[in-house]
Amino acid sequence: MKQLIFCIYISISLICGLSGCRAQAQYITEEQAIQAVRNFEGDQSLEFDEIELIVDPSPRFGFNGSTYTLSKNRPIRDWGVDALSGMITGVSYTDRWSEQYQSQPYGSHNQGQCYDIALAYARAKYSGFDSMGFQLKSSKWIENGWEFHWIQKIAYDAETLNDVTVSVNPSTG
Amino acid sequence: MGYSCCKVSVTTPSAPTVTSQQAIDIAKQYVGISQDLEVRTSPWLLVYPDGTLEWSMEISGILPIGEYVAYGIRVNAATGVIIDAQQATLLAPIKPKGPANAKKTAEALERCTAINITNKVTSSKQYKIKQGSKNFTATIKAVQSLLKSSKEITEESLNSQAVKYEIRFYTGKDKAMEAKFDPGTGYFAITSQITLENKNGKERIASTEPIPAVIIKCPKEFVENMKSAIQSAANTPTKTISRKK
Repeated sequence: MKQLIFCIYISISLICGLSGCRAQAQYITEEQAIQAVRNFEGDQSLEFDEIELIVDPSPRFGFNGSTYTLSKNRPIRDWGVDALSGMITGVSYTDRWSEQYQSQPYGSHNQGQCYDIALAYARAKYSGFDSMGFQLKSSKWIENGWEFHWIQKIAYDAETLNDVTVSVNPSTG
Repeated sequence: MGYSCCKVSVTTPSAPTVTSQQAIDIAKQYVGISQDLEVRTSPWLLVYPDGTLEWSMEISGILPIGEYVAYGIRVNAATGVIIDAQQATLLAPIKPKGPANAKKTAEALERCTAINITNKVTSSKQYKIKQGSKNFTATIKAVQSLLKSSKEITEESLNSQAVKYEIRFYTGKDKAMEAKFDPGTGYFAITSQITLENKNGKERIASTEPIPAVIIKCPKEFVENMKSAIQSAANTPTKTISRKK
């Protein structure tokens, strides 16, 4: 009988403990954020110098503002990871940015070539890119590269908040 | 090279009951434009995750008192209610009409610098905010909302005591712009361009180049998002782990 009561106690403790954890631990763990970036980059040996969790206490419009930021100093790169879903929301390959700022486009890759690179990247990194109704909203020269911005369009030609932006170094692609 | 995205689930919206032309008329009436109405950006529909639909547009024209105005306006596509109207003083008249507009055109040209700098800032992907000795990073989305909805730029004194937050926008490997943000007024002032250097893994400022006052009056959404980010950092100490993973 004592064993039965003990088993029930353990079971209840486990259930309460787990549900308590689930209620509080809405965010993914650091390790999960790290793994998300490693998977995104296809590099399981990727290491980071700094990890931060920025909590948004009042998310609106369905946005979860809480984000993990993972940084690497050499080369300088940063990633943003949605702290709830684990989705990569932003990447900055700062080491790949061109330091040459010009109002006129330059570089060995023209706008069309950069577009192809950006499109391939968007398709590879944003799941559902080809099936969600994304349309190119803008294609602009940003003084040190080309930036392409896609937005999702649904019924009534309405734009949603879903978007993808990719910028490309015109010299290196 | 950079990448940013947003992915939220979206409820299929009901058909808009307000047409784009009706939305323009509502906006025109709200602003009080009596002549030379110009639809600078045609109304486009935006649907929020909860299915709410709104028309967004930019219009300009002349008020009965003769003043030229330009506005970015959002109209609820189901009810016709104005959601937001931001005066866009940055915008220059698209079609200058004679000497009367010469001054405005000149002013617009002066603001070109502001536009260029703003573009550079909004194309940045990293943001660090400082309040006194406290440092924290703004959420990418909070700053993205500035990119999407910043409409109004105006000029104010840079010496305002109310300016409380310093923000650093990284625009390159060793380049950044520094700005000040006052959540009270919503003014966002870009103050200088800096060159950074990395010594023993520590970031240091190598040189600072002041920029003529460029002040953005941030839209309410941005201000609210920034306040949230600031409040979040104040209430929940940012977890910074300086160790190799």
